[in-house]
Amino acid sequence: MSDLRALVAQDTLATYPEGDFWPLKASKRGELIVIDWYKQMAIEGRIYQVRAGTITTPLVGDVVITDTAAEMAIDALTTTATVIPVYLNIAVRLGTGTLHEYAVKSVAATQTAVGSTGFTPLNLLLGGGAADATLYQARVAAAGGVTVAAEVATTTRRHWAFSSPVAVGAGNTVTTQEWTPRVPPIIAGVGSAYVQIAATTTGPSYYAAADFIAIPTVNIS
Amino acid sequence: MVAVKASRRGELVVIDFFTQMALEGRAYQVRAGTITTPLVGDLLVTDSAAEMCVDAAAGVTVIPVYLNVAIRLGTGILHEYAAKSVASASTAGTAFVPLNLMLGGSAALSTARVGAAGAVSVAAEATTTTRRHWAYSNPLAVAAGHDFTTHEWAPINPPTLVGTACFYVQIAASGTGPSHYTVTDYIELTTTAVS
Repeated sequence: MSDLRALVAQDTLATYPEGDFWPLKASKRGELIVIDWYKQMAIEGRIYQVRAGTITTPLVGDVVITDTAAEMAIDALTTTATVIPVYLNIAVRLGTGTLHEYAVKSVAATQTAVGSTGFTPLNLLLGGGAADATLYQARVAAAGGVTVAAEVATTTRRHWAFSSPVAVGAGNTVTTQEWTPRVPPIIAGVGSAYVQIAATTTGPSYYAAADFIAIPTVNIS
Repeated sequence: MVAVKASRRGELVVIDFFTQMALEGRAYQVRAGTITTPLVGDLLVTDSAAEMCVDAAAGVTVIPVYLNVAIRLGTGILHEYAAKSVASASTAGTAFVPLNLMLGGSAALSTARVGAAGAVSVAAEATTTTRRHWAYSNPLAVAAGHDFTTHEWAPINPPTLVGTACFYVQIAASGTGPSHYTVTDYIELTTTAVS
């Protein structure tokens, strides 16, 4: 018979210090209280966000999806840095173009800085530390203004895609897309995760947000 | 032996199996289509003809965990897309080397094939042996008002394919084959780690 004991501590939140052993938490009914890894990463201030579009000012995506051209990218700049994308939201405000193509991909090369706008990742923990700019960088740009490595089926990972041949019209209800990976890409640096948002004739007007974990590579392998 | 991690509030911090497999470099991907070059699916869904497959030889187990099918053109009718598995390896089709979802991760033991127009040959489907994991059907062509052109499958109870076994994807329609980009992610384990 095993005997697992935990401290019933439901009414008052504990504030245990770092680096010492303390009792695990249980409910008054004896259930062990657990927290999943993603929520713990957020509470530890290790999840950051890159975003595009503000209030009524969306960004306009590319006219025809184009190799090496992206709307958003997150880099792990050195072998000591790892990026783990965990969520993407794309909300299309205007979609009069056709042949919509949205995708998330990753590759073992960083984006090219030239011609795109740097974005300082936002910590999802308000007041949390900034992402180390020597290890992580992000860029956001309209119309495929972020330059990434060429896509090759044998090396580029394709994590999620949305395609639609028709323009948004009455009855076309799915204009907001979400990706929450079942098995998240592990971008062990040097590498980049990037987002492409494009259509034919008129680029989609969109708001986008990409959340990612930034963690030292030494902590995963 | 290590001490388990707890939060400052005393909650036990746990990591789910899928995420840990990815972090260990045991999650792989098979993909079809690039930039503006999708693959074209089959003309009518056809027994033993598939667009994509993952094969596990004896001693290897694969667990498919995610499928994404994005339709770029869908002018055909009677669309039929499906994910199935069977305890036999595929027999023909262009090989695809699975990509590790951890950049720099090791190569897969499992093998894969990708082909247009049902060019991947798999075992004949039988209701007594073939597992049918996911399917999408639509009798109509894609047009304004037909909004489901992208499909995802993330099983809560993933199939556990103990080799010899094959997981395969069929994408077909009548009149004109669907132009598609497709991704399958799966976990690979040695069978000794499963049973």
